[in-house]
Amino acid sequence: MWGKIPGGPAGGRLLDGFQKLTAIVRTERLSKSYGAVTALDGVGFECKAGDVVGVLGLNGAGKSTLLRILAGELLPSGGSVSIGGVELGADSRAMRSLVGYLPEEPPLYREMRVRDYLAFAGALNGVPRPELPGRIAAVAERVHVDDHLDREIGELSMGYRKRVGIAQAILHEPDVVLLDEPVSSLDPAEIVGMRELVRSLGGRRTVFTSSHHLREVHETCDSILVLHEGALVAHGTQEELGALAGRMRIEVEVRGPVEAALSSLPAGAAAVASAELGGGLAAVTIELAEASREEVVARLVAAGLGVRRVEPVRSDLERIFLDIVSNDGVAEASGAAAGDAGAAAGDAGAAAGDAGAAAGNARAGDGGSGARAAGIGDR
Amino acid sequence: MNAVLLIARRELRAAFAGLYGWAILALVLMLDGLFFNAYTLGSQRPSSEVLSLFFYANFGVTMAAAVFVTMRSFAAEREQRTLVLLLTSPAGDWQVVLGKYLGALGFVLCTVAAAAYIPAMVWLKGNLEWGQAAAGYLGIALAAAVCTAIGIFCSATAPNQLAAGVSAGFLVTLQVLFWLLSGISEPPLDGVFAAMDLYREHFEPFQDGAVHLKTLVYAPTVSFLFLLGSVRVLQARRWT
Repeated sequence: MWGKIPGGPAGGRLLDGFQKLTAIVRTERLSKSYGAVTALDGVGFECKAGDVVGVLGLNGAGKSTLLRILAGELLPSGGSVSIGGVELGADSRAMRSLVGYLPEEPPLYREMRVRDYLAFAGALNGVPRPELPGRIAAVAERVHVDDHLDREIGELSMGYRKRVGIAQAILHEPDVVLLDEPVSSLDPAEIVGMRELVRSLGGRRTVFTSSHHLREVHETCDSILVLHEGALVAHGTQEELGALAGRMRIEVEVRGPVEAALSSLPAGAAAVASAELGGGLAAVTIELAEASREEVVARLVAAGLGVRRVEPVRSDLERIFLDIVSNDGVAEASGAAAGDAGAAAGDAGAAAGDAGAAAGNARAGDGGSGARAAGIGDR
Repeated sequence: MNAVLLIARRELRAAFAGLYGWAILALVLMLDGLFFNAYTLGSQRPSSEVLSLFFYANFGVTMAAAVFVTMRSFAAEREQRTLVLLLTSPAGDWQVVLGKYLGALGFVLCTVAAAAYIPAMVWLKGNLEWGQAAAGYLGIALAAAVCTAIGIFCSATAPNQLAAGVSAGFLVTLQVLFWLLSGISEPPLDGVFAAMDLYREHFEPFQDGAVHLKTLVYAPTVSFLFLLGSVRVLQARRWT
């Protein structure tokens, strides 16, 4: 399915140009049970190469289980996982070579020096021995542990241990990096550094990061997976999740009096803020409850107002998250149809013109039984 | 480097990196020295008998060392949450188990080598039979291979190091008590139990200089079965 260049450090590299166009991580009807306890239930999603994906959920939502399956540590009870076209189960070792994984507790041998540990982890993941010193130096500089390479890991602070853990996860240049609670146990200064580091990992590789800290996800992630009681209840950008939660807001700039704009809003749309901009222009922030953006724009145009700009307004992630996990009905309603019917939330032009542009990352997983979410409804 | 050798080398280095490995080594040397002192020093035994008694004592000490070394293997990594590094690497479960096994066996054999000063004293002060010495060390190596495999299996299975040590100690002890079961069993079970006894049936001839082909088959077979069990445990844990 995916082309490979043989002989790469991890047993084959994906073709860069091609991988940008296609999903690199795909799960279908993924489920995992621990005895009678269901940790994951019918989770289906796709992620593109280069995205930084936040995995959100309450305690016990299944975040760590999802990452452990993607890392190849656990096998699913049902469904399928593929990374770079390599299926877990069919060729688990090949799939694991494409992944770098940092669990919540970094897997560090405390008696080893940082340099020796990274050499061991790199060699274990297939980095050729002659390349190891250069790779270690480069990665250590990138995660800012280059001054600590000759120290024993047991002497390092938790922040530096996390950094060493990330270094081992990216040393073999995997296509997918999985970070489970990377900012837990860190002090505020370390959190800032870790946030920048996680952000910098995206672009060339797909990064999954789970966190309880909504701000971290807000600051670092391109898209968000929301898990609740083992089910994927939402997947999309923050704007798309805002729409799913029923709190989609848009800002409209029109040429004409602000009163005319306010009076022409359709039922199901409410102005939450407005301002005269001068030069005959006005801006109105509108919360969409029932009405769609197209409906709002059509009403404004019909009222003789010139629509100059339509933009989604980023909502507070905490409010969105709580809305989603406390409102199963919304997620259930989005269901299987969400992927096909999803509308773009990001592009003003698309919002004003196209009725049903694709929802970017927020595609429905597989629409199968138990796949309760993924994507946003049209609005 | 091959993942098996890579893991084995790390295991061996880890054993010598901390106090634990050195403590085991010191204990082995102390016990070997005490037994040698008790059984042979001051007696007028011939060299071959002295060497046979040394191997007899070293057999038991090596079994204990194998239990103490392997109880940490998987169980400690699971407790310290470092096992995930191996389980999420491209190394297969067989490679992980073999690497840990070879590392632990390497350390156990280091403890055997450390006590080689005793046969050296026999060589200097007595009349060492090189054939007996070679056979005795071969027997020790085979017994170490079996006991280390049992320890690895118990470590892979047990939830913690203590449980791993207790279960490995029980199984290893059982290996040398099969002759008791043989004595109270009816045919054909008595023959089966007798054939499974690690000391009387398999090691005892080696300490006297006789190499038996059946032991050369028995030890690798039993080791393989316990390592296979360890691999199956790792695979099963991926499902649970």
